[in-house]
Amino acid sequence: MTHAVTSNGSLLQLPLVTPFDAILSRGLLEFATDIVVAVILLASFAAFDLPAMPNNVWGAATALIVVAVLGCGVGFGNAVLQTLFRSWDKLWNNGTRLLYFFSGIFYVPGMMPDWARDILAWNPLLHAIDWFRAAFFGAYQPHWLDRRYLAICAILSLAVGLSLERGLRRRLSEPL
Amino acid sequence: MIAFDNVTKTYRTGQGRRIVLTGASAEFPTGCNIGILGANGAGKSTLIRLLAGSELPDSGKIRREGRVSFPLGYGGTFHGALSGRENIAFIARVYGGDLRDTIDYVADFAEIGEYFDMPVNTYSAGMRARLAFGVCLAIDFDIYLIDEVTEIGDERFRRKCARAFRERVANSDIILVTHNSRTLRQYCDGGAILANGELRLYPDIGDALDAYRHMLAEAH
Repeated sequence: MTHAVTSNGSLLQLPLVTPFDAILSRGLLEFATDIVVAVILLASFAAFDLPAMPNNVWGAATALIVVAVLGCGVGFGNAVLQTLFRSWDKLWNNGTRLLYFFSGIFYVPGMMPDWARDILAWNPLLHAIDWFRAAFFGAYQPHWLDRRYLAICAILSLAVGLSLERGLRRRLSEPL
Repeated sequence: MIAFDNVTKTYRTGQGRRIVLTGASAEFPTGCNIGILGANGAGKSTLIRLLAGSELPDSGKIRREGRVSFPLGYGGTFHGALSGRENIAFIARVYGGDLRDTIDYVADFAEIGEYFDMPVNTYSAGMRARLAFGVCLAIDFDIYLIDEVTEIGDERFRRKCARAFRERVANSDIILVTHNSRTLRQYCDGGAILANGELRLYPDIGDALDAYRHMLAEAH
């Protein structure tokens, strides 16, 4: 979503196509792509009789939707910042690379020392991943998982992202 | 009709802000073709984008009645990675036109042959302009906004454009930016001068050209 405005400058010359449209459609495209990839993966596992379906399908779907809202808000903010600062993507990509280690992907929160987990639990992505994980494995119900915290972060990020777009809309409409 | 009500528009450049309009109020009336005059860098292209709604003013209101075209200029409204056909389909959908009719019309009008199915990135400036003219004419706009692209293609193509626009002028209006005063006299009834953040309209293009020549003479 970061490059939705900067890479569509010519289409944005059409007055009916606004930066908001470009950013949102980019977000929907990313979401649709991920859903298709997930369906292909799950179907391939099923074709080989490997048990890969989540224990709680609706739980997994809810986690995906909430994290998509979080990503959408961040994406709106990034698209605006990318238009203002052309090097924003480099900063953002390098800065957020650390989140691979701080989100409990490879090193699951259950194996972390309590003090480390207490700090990393401020990272909403850790909750997103554990929410998704808990939907796959019925026996995995971590006590630190706070679904409401993730939902609040998602709504806040969307509010901030949309406010940035609204506040700087005039700048976004200027030719690049 | 397009009306400016107390419109201010400034630009950020390397050194401070450049002023295009400061509190300008003006009306481009229905049934009147207007040519826009102004020095290089006065902001004529920005004015066209403001008229279209592609760009938003810093403050003030712009009211439009009728369907206003996108700015028809060298900048282009096409996505470089998509083919001419795909771009036309996109624009036809955005404006709610019939997909097949629009594509057929543009393919016939632009005369770019097999390039119609090549990415727009591979086009020459002239080919882009042909495509842009085609799609602009394929959609029924009440007001056409044209920015400096009247001199495209060979003599025959130019005549074809002129003929197509003369047909359109019966029901639509044109707002035109060009440095060619002959083109201005040919198409426009009235004129507008953009200078020093002000926009002044003249009901007669001859008067506008005289006033503009006067202004330039004083500046030197």
